[in-house]
Amino acid sequence: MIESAVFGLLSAMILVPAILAVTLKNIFHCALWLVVSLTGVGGMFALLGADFLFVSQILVYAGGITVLLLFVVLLSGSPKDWVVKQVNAQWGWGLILTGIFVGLLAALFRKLPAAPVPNPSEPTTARLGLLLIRDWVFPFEAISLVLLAALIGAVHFSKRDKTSC
Amino acid sequence: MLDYAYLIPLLPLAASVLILFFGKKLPLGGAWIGILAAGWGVVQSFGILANVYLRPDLLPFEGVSGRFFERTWDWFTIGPVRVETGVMIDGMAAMMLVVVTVVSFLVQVYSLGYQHGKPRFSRYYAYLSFFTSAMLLLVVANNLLQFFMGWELMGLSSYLLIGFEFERPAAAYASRKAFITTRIGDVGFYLGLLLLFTSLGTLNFGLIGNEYKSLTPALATVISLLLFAGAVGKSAQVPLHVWLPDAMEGPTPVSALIHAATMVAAGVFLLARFHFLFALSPFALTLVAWTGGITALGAALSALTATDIKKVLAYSTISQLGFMVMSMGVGDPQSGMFHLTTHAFFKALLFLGAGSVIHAVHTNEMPLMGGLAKKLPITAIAMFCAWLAIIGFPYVGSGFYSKEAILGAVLAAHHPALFAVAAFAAFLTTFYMTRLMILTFWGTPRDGERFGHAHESGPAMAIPLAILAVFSIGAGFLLHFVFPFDKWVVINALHHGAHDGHGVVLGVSLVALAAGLSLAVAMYVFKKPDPVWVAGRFPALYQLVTVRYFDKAYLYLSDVLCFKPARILAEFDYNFLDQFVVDGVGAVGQWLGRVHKWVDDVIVDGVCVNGWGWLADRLGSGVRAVQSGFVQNYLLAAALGVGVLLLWIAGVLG
Amino acid sequence: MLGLTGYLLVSAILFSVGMFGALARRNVLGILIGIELMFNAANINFVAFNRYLHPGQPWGQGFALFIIALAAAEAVVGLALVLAIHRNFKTVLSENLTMLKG
Repeated sequence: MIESAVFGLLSAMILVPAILAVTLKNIFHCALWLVVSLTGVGGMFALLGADFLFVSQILVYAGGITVLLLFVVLLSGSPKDWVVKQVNAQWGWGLILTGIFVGLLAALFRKLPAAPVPNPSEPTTARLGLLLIRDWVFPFEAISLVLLAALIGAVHFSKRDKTSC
Repeated sequence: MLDYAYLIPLLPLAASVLILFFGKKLPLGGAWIGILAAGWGVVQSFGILANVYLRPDLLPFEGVSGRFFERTWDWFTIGPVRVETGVMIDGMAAMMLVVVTVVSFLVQVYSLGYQHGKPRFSRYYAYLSFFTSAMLLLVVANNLLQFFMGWELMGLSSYLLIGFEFERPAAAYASRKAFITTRIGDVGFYLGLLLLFTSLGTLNFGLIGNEYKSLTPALATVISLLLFAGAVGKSAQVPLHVWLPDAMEGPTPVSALIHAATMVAAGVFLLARFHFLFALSPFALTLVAWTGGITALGAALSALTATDIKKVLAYSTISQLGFMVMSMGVGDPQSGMFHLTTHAFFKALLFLGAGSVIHAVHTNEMPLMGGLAKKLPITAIAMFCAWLAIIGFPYVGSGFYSKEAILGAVLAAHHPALFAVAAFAAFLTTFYMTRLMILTFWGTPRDGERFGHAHESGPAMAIPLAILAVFSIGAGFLLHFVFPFDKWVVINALHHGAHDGHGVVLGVSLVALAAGLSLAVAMYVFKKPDPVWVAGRFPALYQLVTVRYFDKAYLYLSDVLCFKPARILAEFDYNFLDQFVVDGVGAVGQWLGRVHKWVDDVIVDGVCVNGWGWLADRLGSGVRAVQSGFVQNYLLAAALGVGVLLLWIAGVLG
Repeated sequence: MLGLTGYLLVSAILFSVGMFGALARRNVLGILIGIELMFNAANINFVAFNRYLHPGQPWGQGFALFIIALAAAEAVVGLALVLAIHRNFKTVLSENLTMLKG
């Protein structure tokens, strides 16, 4: 019962800020609401027994990506961008398509067989660690390369002077 | 003392970090930190040595666990694999500790004078400390992984130090050459390490010593050869010796450190550590012995005609390393370690002395020196002591005892051909070292201007020379009679029984010494026969000892394997593909083109080209509207596609 | 309402909301925000399936971890691009960025 209540609260904490984040006029406020929504997703992970992911979500999204986003908002947005209309010409089509998606997916889920209720979850960090550096060590190293490439690419894109390395 | 042995590698490391970050703000560029750390290492190493000597029952490492001092800490654990780090001290390690710390300490003191006022002074000291720390980490290692770590860190720091004066292209080139050449051997070492780990499940020396007998002979041979590949690279044995002569581009004190106590000693140390493994494989032993023999001879030949004073010493180092490796191959690692110890002292002295000479006359070329004994008396006397040691002057030079031990071991192992090679190399050693001394210090100055400016260097450089001179003369005597080396540096070895034929060995080495000495004096003091005349008379012989065959061979190999095929392919491409195929097809096409010109004009141009063009134009204008360049349009299209897919899935499931 | 279906529904709505953001926002940063929301919807799915269909196995969570890492890489490159766009075009509105118009 408590779980249902928590689930409901978290759902609200995810969805309402998410809707605000894509509809508000001021992009700065959007980014702030995004933090709330992503924190809610982290809470959802905790509810699903994924403790390590919960921490990662908070650290990487709420802590890292959104701060980066806020920086870029402050660096790139001129205040005139904050007051103009925030939706483009095809927003109507987008809205219709979104509605269709929600309806279709919901219809699809109704047909799923009921999943068994799982046992209480255990801490997952140790298993995840073994998974990453033993079974999936190659993808793990590959993703480290991707991150390195992203880092270099970001430096390359955002540097002003094209001549110096 | 023993309990805190881990301080010996850690203090220089800390010193290195301190100097690197704060060196420029500290007095003397922070050099004193490195010297203090090395000085503490000297004190503690001697303490450990005394400990080892007083408790010999406890300490010898015989490839059997539990009979040496060991302390381990957990390093990290991956699932079932536990990797540890630790300190292991046996007689051999204690001896190496003393050698490394003493030479490093003296080199650092000496560098105060030699590097004074040179650019990047404090960085130089940071590198030196780091280098020392890496070597010490390797010496005290109790497992192969830590050993490998020290080994690789040393590769890095040798790269930094050889290329220290990287403004000169030659230095940058030499550092790269050293790094890459040793890396080739390191690949073998690493593979051997992995093979050992997969077959025994441990890298701890003691545990390997307990379990190595379960290896099959074939596996033991493969592992031994792979480890030997690492030693060949690091200790500059044929065919990977090519980096060492070029490593002379580094500052001279660095050469002293590389050649005497660190780097090249590591390979020999590895062979001694794993001698029990090599002992399982007669093939590996024979290969090791002959590699050493060929290296000793070849390098000694190369040293005969070199005119750069440091090059002569470099070839001499390779040759002496060949002697040590030879002793490992004939199953007497003690004598090899003994020679490593004595060699460390006298070779460091030779290099530091050469550095003092170079500092005075500002050239490496011996033809521009001569008669310097008058101007540099302290250097000359010190170099004379080192000379006595390296030629193995009977009962005086320390090299006499250790070289004698190696020759005796070779003879006792029934390798008469190898013994002949070794004796001849000893003769050559006497010859080229005497030549070096005569050309540098004897006779009349050949370059009056340089001679006039030359003056003895300051106390920072003179005192290390004096100390090393004492070691060069005393070490052999002390370690042979007073503290017999093979009583406490015990290595599990093939026992050939007592060295018989001691008289033969003594006789042969005395003859080699006398012959080399008299020939060198005759040629370079009395000019009978004149060396220039000899070189002109026997050009083939002169070529043989001057040309660096291996460098040429490597260049040739890379030429044959890469550039030649590329050129052949280019020729093929031009002659066959371009000239025949392409041009031929072109000619045919031209003819066909003429024949069908009218078809083109009427049908192709009229109907096809213009018709399709017209069609494409119409269609293009239509499609153009879709290509809005507005990303979100495309996104909408993609989402629509996904929506259709969703519909389809819902339809299939429903 | 609880159980796997509940999680999937939340994730579906979150995905759709994110998609709306990506489709309809004028501001490039708004598009990025929408994309982040879509990533998170996918992650909820992975973790929920892991929890209900393969309890005790780490694969779904491992996959979610990889997605988080990739999302971080995407965000870094994307934001760097936004900065570059802002510097060169003096705007962050997507309809002005139509250099590829045919």
